[in-house]
Amino acid sequence: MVKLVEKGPLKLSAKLLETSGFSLKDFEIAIGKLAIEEEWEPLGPTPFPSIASLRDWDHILLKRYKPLYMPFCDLCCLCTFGKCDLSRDKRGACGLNMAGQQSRIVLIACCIGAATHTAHARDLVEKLIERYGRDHPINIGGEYIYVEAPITRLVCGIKPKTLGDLEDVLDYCEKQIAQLLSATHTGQEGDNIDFESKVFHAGMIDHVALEIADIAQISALNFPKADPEAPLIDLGIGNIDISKPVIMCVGHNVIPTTGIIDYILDNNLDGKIEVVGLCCTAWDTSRYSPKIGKIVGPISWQLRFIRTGIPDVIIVDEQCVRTNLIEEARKINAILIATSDKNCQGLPDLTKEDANDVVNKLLNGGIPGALIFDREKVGEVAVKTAMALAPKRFNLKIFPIKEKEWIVSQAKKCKQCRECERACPNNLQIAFAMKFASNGDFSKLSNLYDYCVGCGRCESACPEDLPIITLMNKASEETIREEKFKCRTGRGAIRDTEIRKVGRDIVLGTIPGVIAFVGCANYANGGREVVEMVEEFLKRRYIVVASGCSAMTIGMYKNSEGKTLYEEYPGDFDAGCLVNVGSCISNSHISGAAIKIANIFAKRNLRANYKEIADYILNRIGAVGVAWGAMSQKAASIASGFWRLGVPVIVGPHGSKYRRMLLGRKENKEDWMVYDARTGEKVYVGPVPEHLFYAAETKEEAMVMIAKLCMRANDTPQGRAIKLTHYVNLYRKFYGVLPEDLPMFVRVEADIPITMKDEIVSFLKEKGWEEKVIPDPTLLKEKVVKKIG
Amino acid sequence: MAESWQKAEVPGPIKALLLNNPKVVAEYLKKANHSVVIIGDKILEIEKEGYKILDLIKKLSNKINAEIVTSSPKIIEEMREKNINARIMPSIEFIDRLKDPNWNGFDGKGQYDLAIFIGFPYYYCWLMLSNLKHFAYNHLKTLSLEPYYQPHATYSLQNNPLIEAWFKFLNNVIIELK
Repeated sequence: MVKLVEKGPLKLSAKLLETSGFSLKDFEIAIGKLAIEEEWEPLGPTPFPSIASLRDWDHILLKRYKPLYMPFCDLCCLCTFGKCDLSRDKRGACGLNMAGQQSRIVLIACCIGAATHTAHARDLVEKLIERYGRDHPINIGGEYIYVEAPITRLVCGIKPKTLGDLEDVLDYCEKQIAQLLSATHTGQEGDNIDFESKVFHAGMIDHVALEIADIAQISALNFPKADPEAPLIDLGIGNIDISKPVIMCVGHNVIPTTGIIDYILDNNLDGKIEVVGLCCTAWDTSRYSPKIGKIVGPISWQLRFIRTGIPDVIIVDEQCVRTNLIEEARKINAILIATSDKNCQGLPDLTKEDANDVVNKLLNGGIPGALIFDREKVGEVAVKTAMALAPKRFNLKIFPIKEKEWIVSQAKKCKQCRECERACPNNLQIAFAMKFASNGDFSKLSNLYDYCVGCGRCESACPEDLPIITLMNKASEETIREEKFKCRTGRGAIRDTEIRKVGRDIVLGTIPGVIAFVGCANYANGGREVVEMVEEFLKRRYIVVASGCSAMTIGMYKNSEGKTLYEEYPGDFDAGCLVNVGSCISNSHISGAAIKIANIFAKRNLRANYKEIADYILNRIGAVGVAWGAMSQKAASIASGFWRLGVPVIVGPHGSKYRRMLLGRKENKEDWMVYDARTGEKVYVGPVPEHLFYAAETKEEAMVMIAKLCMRANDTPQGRAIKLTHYVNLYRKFYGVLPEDLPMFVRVEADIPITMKDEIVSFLKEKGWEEKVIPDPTLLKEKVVKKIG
Repeated sequence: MAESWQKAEVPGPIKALLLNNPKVVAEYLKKANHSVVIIGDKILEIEKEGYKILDLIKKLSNKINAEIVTSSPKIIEEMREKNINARIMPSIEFIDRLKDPNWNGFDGKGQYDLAIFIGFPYYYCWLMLSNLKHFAYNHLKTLSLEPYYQPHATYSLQNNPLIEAWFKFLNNVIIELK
């Protein structure tokens, strides 16, 4: 059977059309976009949803999870009416109040994020089509993956089969982002809840774009295809052979780096040059070539790595690239090559020049770098430049200044004004460390290394122009040399077979939860906290998933046997396993896995059936995202894509700077009513999950909250007992008592963990606990099968 | 004029009233009818340096009959050792309740009229205070006892990054409470 669906344009034209008394010459009718596609599932209610199509679902969520706004300042300064003072519920000249303005700012952030991922996806798809053709098949897991694009199926209602099909999806994403961004213009949306609904829409679009980007590159560049045993690769500065030329690649778009790797392989240079990456380009380089691609570390390693003097050539692509790398490259006599039209760095465009001429220009010092858009040329220029430059730069590695006496002389210049501390996001005691360093004790300076997020604001603020990052580096030289770790490269999607195996246990609650550690490395207390959290939940046999810079951080600490968590735990999507899906765009496989559980295990239709699937996930799939160092607008849009799907997200303390939380109020009983799909009755299910977006102050607070947010209305008594075991156990481990809100989560006696039964029963009695009904939960009235009366 | 500790933290027209006299701080504390002290985990770093700041907070809360709330496990443990019944609640959740004029407080006696903040990361504190400044101004005043000027509070101490001087100041506040 075939069916017409929205896809390609359909045009009818005729020279002459005549009926009685009526004739038409040379006419043409364009009927939207139509194409023929096989019937694979009944089309659901919301194909290619517009910015208000899912508004009713958003309002259901936002009634329960209300925004808490924490404005940066009292003002709006987005138009020439302003600045407008919005403090204490005043309205600006356009009529907007503070709640409206804050939600508008969140929407702008999420539009930036979604636009960035969509533009990234567009660039990938266009370049891959150029190389491999529009008909190149989508293949992200061979026989193990039937549901190849769960988010696209869910949102758009189509099943992409080739690279060419992905272009149509991106057309839709771009249109939606333009619509969403237009809503933020002065004099458009004015209601904060409707702004928040649009935030959710931006997040949903973001996840579609993430999926398109990753399935395109997995299919065309032959990345690991849903492989739980994706290779273990080198991570850390200590793994880099500094006797070889070093090319550093930073950003998110792997295409230019593939040019470098191909050039190395084509010219038998493998083993003669190091290609190292930071941020997500690093993951995707290692997915392209696990043998060649090494990882330096997360985004926050950019400055500190450059200051080691190790890189000869720095390649920047797009996103999360430090914007003054041209200056930084100059400081160590390295060459910078920019490769993206989104990030030209003020460099001359030498794309059309002969590669050898470009290399000569770069080596002769006439220009500090070049802008090259052609991947093959990037490859040739980068490799030739690095090989010619490396011998001349050897003395600049490992650090430009070799002697530790230099630290003392620099530290002596410090006037203890503490401007550095007033600029440091983590208020690190830099001046105090300088005081010790000026007396030859570098221990305090070295201690800062673990807590520094590498932003360099201290240096900008220093009236003495002290190179504080370099000083910290130099004091930590031994630590840096020992940065030798192993991590598992990104495996991509979760197999349908894995979903079949664990879907039941996740939905019933007998696997206590799926926890995704994602996002950037803007940590308040160093990366070790992430590792501690991950380890805690692995030992408790949760499924732990990771991506992006968080996935790198997880690999940067070793246990007592010298192994990282990647070496200690398997990479399957299963209880007690650690799954690295890959780069930021691979986050789509995490939301995709939740969607696939609803589809493959529960057999719910995916196709354009967003509300039902999100309702299913919210009420049945105990998944939580943890973005402990989330920094970017992209992280915001990724989080909002999870919110609309009903997956809560916890951020670290710096995440409070997103300025808006989505919090439930557990004591408001009416907020936690659902329909029992079997009877239509409204039933109280307790505060599960309690929040949608939440900034924790400490890792302990976060761990308790993670365990709590994994509870779902549909948990069976056996599953709830397991989830409560972890919640109570963690709460007691940290606070020494039973949680006050425990009675809200115990529905029937069988929910009580058997090992704590007597104690909990007496606690519940004391609190006047009453047994509750366990319904077939849904927030959607239309999903009620049988209505009373 | 008071300046934020983190210089980029420029709040807008409404800024905290700077209190640099312990006696004035004590007066504002005494004036409140229903106070609560919110303690952040960073206080432990100061304790590590040998300043018994939690003892001071205990004295302060006793004198003004204020409840204590925190989400820090170590603070809970220490408070328990000092026989203080501190409430356990994540700060963000607590702010959500403080902003609600209809919340009845932990003790059921109605919403608090003064919330006292101490021991948080600078940015985390100013964001929480910012919410209360804009959305709880009708029923709640906030006092920052942090060693840094917190512009979004109703009242704030000045920047006093030398812990010894700050500690002495707080001690004097306790003395003034009598």
